[in-house]
Amino acid sequence: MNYDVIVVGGGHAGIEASLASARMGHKTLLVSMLAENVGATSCNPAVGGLAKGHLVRELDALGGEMGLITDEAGIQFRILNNTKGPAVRGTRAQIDMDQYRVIARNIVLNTPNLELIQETVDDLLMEDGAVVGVRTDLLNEYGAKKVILTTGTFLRGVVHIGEVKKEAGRFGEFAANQLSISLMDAGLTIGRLKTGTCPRIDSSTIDFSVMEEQPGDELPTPFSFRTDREKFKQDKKQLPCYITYTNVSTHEIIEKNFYRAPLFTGQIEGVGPRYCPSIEDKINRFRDKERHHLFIEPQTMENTECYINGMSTSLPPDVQQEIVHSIVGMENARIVRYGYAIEYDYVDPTELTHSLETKKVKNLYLAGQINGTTGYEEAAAQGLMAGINAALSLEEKAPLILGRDEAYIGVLIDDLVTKGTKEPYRMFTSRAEYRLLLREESADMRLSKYGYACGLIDEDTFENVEKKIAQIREGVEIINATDYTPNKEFIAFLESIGEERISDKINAQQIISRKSFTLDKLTMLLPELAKFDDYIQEQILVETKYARYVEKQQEDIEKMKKNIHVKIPTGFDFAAVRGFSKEVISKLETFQPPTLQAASQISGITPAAIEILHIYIKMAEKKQQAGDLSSTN
Amino acid sequence: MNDTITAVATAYGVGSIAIIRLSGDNALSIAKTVAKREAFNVRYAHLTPLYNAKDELIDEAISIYFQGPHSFTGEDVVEFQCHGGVVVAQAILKATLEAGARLAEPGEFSKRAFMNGRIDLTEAEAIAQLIEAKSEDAAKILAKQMKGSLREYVEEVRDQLLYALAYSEVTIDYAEEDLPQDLIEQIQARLSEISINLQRTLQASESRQGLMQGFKVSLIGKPNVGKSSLLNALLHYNRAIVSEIAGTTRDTIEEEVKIGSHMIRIVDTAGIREAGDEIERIGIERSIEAVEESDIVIAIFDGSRVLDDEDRKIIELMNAHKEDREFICVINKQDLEQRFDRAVLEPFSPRALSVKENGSELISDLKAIMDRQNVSDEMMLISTRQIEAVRNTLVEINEAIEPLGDQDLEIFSFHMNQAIHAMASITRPFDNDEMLDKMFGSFCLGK
Repeated sequence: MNYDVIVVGGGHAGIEASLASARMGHKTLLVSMLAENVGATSCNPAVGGLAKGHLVRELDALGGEMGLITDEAGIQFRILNNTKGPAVRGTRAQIDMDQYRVIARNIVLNTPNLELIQETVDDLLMEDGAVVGVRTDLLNEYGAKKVILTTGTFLRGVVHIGEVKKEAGRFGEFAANQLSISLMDAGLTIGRLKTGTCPRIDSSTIDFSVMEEQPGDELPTPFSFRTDREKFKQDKKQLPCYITYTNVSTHEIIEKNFYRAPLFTGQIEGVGPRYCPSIEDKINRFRDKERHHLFIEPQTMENTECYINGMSTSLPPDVQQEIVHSIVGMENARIVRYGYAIEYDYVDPTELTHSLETKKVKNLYLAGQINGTTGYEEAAAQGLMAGINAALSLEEKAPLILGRDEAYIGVLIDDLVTKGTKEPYRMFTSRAEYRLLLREESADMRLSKYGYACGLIDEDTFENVEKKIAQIREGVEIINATDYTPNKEFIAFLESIGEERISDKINAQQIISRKSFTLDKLTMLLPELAKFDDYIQEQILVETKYARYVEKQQEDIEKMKKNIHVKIPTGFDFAAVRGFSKEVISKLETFQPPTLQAASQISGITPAAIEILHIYIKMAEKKQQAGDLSSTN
Repeated sequence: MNDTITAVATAYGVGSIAIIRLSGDNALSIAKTVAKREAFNVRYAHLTPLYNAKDELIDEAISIYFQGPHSFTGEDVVEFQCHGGVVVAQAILKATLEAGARLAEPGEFSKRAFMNGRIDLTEAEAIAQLIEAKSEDAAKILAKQMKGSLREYVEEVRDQLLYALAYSEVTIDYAEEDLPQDLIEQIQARLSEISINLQRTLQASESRQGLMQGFKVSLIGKPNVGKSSLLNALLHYNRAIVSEIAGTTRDTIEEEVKIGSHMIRIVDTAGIREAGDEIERIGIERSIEAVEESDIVIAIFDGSRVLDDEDRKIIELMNAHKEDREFICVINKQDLEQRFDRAVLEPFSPRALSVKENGSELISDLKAIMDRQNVSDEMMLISTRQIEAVRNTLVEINEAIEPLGDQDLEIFSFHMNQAIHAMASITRPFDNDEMLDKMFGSFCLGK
């Protein structure tokens, strides 16, 4: 059988990749080891969070599925950092992980052009340095113009619990031991990473009454721009989470058993994420801290099993029991599934171009944990981009590459392919240098145009976004066009709304951008803005408050773009650049990048190298000019 | 780019030893030609005869081969240490040119060192200025900077800023985490420390510019009080007039004189010298300008005459600048009958003497003032670029403080990022990953 696109792996990356490619009209096959587990959430029962919420919103604006599934399967919604600035607010949802899986599988099975097959891919079929298909464990061969690998933690996965070590891609599932070899044969650099998860507890054995309740937002906000917000607010049923803490005796138990922790005994060699450390790692690194908090999260709407967020561990089962029992409210708790660590292969993401295609193997795309990332959201975002770019390439169109100033997805992919990663990569808002431009609430305004152009966003949705953009623009223009003079009447008005008086003629923007100026004052100051609904008013307020900073960031972007578009003269002698390693010189000579931008995209070419190169180009230009002058004289 | 350059590395015509430096791919082969020697051991001092193209012996020199990248420029370098003076050094230089080297452009060795990553910008700047440095003061400051002390200072400030940023980023990206309650206060405390530190550096650098560029000294006083006697004493001190250069303002001439390890520039001497004591007509406006322009002011009064209006105006001027200038106050002509009311000058602890006889005492005073400035260990910024960068850093830090108090952390971060970029521009660029390292080093994060 032949397909346009084959996606290997049915996790969050694989779902988005296969849906995007199929919806863009290409015959797609999704190969999964266990059809039952398409859309499984192996770790925590939650989607979103800081920066991750941004990714989901962006994915949704581009026509991805994660936001919609989460809205449906979500059992608690909260906006984090609600008291901080709008740019750093992030939406987070608890999900019913069973339901999530069922919804995801149903969508996959009901999408035209998309087929699902339960097999394991063992080999890539190659021809002239390009991938042309896959061979499975059942010895079936499928031809494909494009292959997207989204293998998660399955490549040569090894699970650790205490002294026990098992080959597994996820607890209880086979590892994919063949495919790594195929990748190595193709010359790709493979590394080893580690991640882990926590014990799951029978909810009926937890005493929630001694824990602090953490409810969802009173008026929950959905992820998807395509979900009806008002209806969602009214109808969404939510469950609370609970907070409890580790204590001195927990820490003693853990410390006493360090010698049995695979993390410390050398049993685990892969590098784990610092931002999602196991409990033994936390105790080891921060010995002074008296307690660590734990979030008890329901795994399903029925709340029969709980996830102990904060207790990721690979200590032996008896130690896990002891730890759990030392926690207030869990003295009699029963573990259903033990926590474990998992080591797996990943491909050095500097092997990829910005379209997520490998540089060495044509038509082969990689997305998700195979690229060294962690998190459902990071995976889904890459999956969507790989799917879109594979499809665009089939259509002989330029790839969709999002800028760092355009989307967190742009930051994610740019970081990966230009810098690589040595530990599982997670998104943070602080990774985005243009953070103020990249608000969750503006994701649709930034990105829907691309989703629409790819055919992943429908006409109506896109029109709504256009309308939103136009309304906000109109509101901001009204503000910019309004000046106030310090006359008696106006000063009295300012006092009446609790605003400081003005002493000079002033633009409305300057009053609105004050910290004290809240949303309720907007229509009092400018009644003509009342024609817009509350949501639009809020966006107008935010845009106005950030205007000054956004302008500065835009300037920085322009400056950077100017630099990055500097042309490298043809026949430029890279070998003459002192301070470059032989490796750098040979890469530049091989790829012959036409601009600094292109040079910066070559793996191993650091920003420092770009800077030096820039200086040399300038010097060469000067020399050229001097030469021109002397020859005319 | 990798052609081989050559130059005399020591000062022209001075000193008992001269050094000729070769750098580039052919440095070794050129050295072999000039020394007629088969091999040089790396970093070994060979005593070798040197020959010119006509095969004539020039001199015997200590020759040392530094193999790239372990050399000043990062390229192959050979240094010849020969006998001092112009003739020998020039002859060896010529021999290296004949053997295929090219004469280095000014600062080209440093430029290559910078390009090859051997030195950072601050070190390159220090080297560039050291070539021009005229006083030992300047040389000392520059030498300190070449050893990387400014880089260390910048790194430290940058590091502290990075920590402050990491503290606020952690409260943004780990909103759910059990973080210390007083984080904002900790950041505020840290920031005010950094701000005070930078302010001090900035002020020290500005006030100690004299060490680098020469102290500007002005002589004020009404006509005929003995300014030219003092000027002569200064000019003939050590018989070391260095140069006459165009004054920075108007049509004046500035004299550069070396006193001890310091360089001084005498401001506004034109009037004094051209007119002479008899018919000098230095107006009070000129004195004002002179005082404003200088670091140290020598004010001279005539002890044999009664205090008059012009004296009072000068004293008024001195009082106006009492805090921001150094003053040496002289009541001259002690050999004559004293009519001057010296009480009015008490705040300036005047010296009563005769300039003609005891001028050297004043020079000691002057030296003492300059020595005082030299002992401070405060970090010093040596270029406008560096001063600008620190100033911008301060502006951004100050702008960051208000939003921090208001909990507008994303705005705080915005300014902090700008501050770090400004500070880092002195030495090297800033990378976001470092901030994450700080976050994870300082806090226990992650569920």
